[in-house]
Amino acid sequence: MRFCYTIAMLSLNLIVRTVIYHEGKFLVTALDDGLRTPFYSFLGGHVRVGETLQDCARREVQEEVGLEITPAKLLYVVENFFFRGATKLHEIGYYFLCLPAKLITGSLLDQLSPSATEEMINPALLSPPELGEANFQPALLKQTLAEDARESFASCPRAVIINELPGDVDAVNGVYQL
Amino acid sequence: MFTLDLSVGAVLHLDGKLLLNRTPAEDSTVYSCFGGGFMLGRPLPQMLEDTLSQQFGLPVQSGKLLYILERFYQRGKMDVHEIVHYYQLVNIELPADELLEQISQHGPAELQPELLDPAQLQPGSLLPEALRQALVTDVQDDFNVSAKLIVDNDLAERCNSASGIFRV
Repeated sequence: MRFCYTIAMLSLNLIVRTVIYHEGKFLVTALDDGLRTPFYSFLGGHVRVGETLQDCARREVQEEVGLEITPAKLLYVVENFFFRGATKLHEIGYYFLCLPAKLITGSLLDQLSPSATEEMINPALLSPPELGEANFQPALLKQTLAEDARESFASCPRAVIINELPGDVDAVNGVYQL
Repeated sequence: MFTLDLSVGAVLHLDGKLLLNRTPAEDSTVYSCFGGGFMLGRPLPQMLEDTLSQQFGLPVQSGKLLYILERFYQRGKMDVHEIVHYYQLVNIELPADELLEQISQHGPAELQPELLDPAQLQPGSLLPEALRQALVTDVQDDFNVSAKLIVDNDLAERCNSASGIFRV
């Protein structure tokens, strides 16, 4: 069971995303769920009841691409207010910089074994400029990711607010130093 | 059956002391940080500012995220996964005595706010113990520290998360 509950007209989603930055490139996955324009995102998913945020990060990456990782640093707390279908969501995303638990020799992609049951997982490696050009979600993070990667993420964690429900939610879009 | 509790907590550090609330019992030496429950549709830092302003009359600003505390414990028959986001408060314009007076005037009658020297926080005086340890340690560095994840798992039979303080 995953965390998702509804109060009034908004539902809460609690997710974890993993930022795996390997040899100057971000590990992302191309998502095509048939509901939205295909886009890139970081690996990750919903926090399950009874697991910590770090455990969620480890489990999701293991399930999705068969890679053992260690969450090393909290980079962003992304609060996203948006519509999905007819549902208004308040999504809190915890983005962790994650390191492969074992030394990677050769291409990172060759070390991955995307799950056969996770049909939407199509891993790819994108450099910061490539990420900037790609349809990556959340788009507001693209520039910040490039800047933070240059500085080895020293200025993180940051708060990121993405408000697509300005009529319902009083919050200003932006990336904020925490 | 698990339930999720999200909330925000305040770390207010003034003149070398921490703002804490003493549990409303005679001779109590148990303290907690100020804070409040989750408001759907409100970003976490603003949630904390709103709570402190509306419930305690404190015009403060949320600063750095210091800790994310995850607690697993039993409340009645319910298993609880509690996630508390602790932010350092900044731009405190009130002097210490006025700060306490402000809270006493605006907050619920049972509040017992105190500014406490962290050295007085003995084991057991602020729970969970890992949070007390983190506060006592980090106050010495004026909270110029990176964020930490704190896990306190009292439900070892039902969830296998390791308790501890994790620097992230």
